[in-house]
Amino acid sequence: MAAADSCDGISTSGGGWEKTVTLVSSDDARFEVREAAASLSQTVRRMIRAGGDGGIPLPKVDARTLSTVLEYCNKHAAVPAPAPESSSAEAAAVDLEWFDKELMHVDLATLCSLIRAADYLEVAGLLDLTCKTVADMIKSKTAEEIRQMFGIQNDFTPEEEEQLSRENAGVFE
Amino acid sequence: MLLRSGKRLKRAPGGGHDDDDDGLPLADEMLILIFARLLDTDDLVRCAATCRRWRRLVSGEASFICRSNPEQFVPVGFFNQGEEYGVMDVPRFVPLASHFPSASVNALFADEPFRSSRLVTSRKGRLVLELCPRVCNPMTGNVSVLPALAGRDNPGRYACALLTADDLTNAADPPGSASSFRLVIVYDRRDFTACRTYSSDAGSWSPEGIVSGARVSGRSLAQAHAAAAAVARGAVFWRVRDAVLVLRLDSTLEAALEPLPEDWTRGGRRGYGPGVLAVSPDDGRLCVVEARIHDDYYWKHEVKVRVMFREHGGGGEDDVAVPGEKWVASRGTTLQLQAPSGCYGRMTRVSLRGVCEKSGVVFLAAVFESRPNRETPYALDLGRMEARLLRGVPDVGCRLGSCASFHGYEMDRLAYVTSLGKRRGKGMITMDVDDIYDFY
Repeated sequence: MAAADSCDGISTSGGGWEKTVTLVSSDDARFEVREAAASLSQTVRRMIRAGGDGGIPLPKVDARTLSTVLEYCNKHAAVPAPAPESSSAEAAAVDLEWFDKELMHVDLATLCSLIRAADYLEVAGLLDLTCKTVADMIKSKTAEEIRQMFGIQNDFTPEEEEQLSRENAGVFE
Repeated sequence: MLLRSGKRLKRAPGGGHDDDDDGLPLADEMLILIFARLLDTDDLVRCAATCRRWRRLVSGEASFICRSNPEQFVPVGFFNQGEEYGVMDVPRFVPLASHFPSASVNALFADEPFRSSRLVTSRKGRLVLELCPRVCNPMTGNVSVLPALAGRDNPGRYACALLTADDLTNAADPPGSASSFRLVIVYDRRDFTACRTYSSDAGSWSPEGIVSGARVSGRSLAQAHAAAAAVARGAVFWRVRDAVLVLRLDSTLEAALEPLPEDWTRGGRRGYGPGVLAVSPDDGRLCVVEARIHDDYYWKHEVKVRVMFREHGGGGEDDVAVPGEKWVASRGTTLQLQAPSGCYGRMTRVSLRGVCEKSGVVFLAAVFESRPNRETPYALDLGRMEARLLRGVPDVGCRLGSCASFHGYEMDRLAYVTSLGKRRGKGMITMDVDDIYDFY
């Protein structure tokens, strides 16, 4: 927090006791976020340390994606550190799991944007969650189903493809 | 420069493969992160089959993708070799899943001296071939020629086991590198049972050692030779008649014959054929697996499979298997076999053939009334307890009674996933379409 004090890009929220930072998306939308939440992103955390004027620019993330990322950060930053086995801590974990599940109810394009954003912003938890979600979508699918899902062009030669059609029969469904 | 959602993100430097552009808005690194969360090898195989870029990533980054479970093994197929009038046929490789470039394996046996060599054993991606023993890895093409044991050193009939680096971590003299191996042979001398070890690090055979604690006849060893050895917790195991021979891998050469319970020995077999040794995929316990025809009708081909585990008390002695531990009761499972098309009538025989030790796959061969001279192979998955018909396996490979040698072949997951990227039909190895057999 000492580092944050010396940082120009920080404004203080109305409550007066919690610091916020302003993040600026690629399409110039401004988001005011609690610093604790924004710091889940290692990229933002470094930028807070470095200081700066008029908000932290995030040129690789658009507003729609950033709002989802921040939704994740706000929720996860609010959860206290894992306390000894109390029922409230357990309930919070269950709640968080539900929240994550709901957050992942988006289409594949959005998921891909989220993966890119989580990678760029270095939000480890979100990167893990999104990659796992996509991996679960791939599981048990045939190669053709995967291609359709991701809109991938099949760029194998006809000979290779003939081989592949046999191969897909080989990998038991 | 701004990159907006929906626009392509350029790949990281070094990943610029223009020939495998798939139109997906995810950088290589992120796809690899996703692949790393696919724990099932079959999923990775299917991913590698979607497009060139994915195949390149799955294969090229296999070490990262497989890092969470490097111990896992994949059953790849089996080798078998017939024998007629004492002459060995050319060993033949039959892949389980056809995405394996089997041609590279069969190409190994295209020329002398390999085509007339005898396949002795197979373990973890390596094969041992006899007549001046050789150890080779068909995937890497590495072949080690072991010094012949001739004259007074000739072991005669022997049982052998191939040990790889991870089997030897607790050994008195640990292996020099990850690719080191040792070949242990146990054989009969006039007054004692002897043992020698070839070490790839030393490039030579150890002096003859005397096995303490057990005496095994040459005939029993020859019998054990035919079945594969299993290695667990610092000891080698062979099935010998009604017992299991255990040999500790340390310098004591302490061995024991552990008798199996009565209903697993000749008197109480109730139709079960000779079993094979395997390692349980669930908990790594050593087990004996046996099979017999259960209840055979013309339309319902059922086999009974029973498994017996070797219990260890746990604790003590650095987790090394101590000879003399107990074998305990099994579970019996009834499995229905799917008869191949064109096969009708009763099942007249089932027998267990070979094992993929680490991946828990046992090969089962059945003979049907309508084809009395042919064995139909099945792969029995010990983890899921299900048997799958291996389709399209050529008859020539499995003539009844001529299966002089049959060895399961498995690879570790990393080597296997890496092999998916091999461009087939290139270089020395040519792909023969007839070499692909689907795992039904």
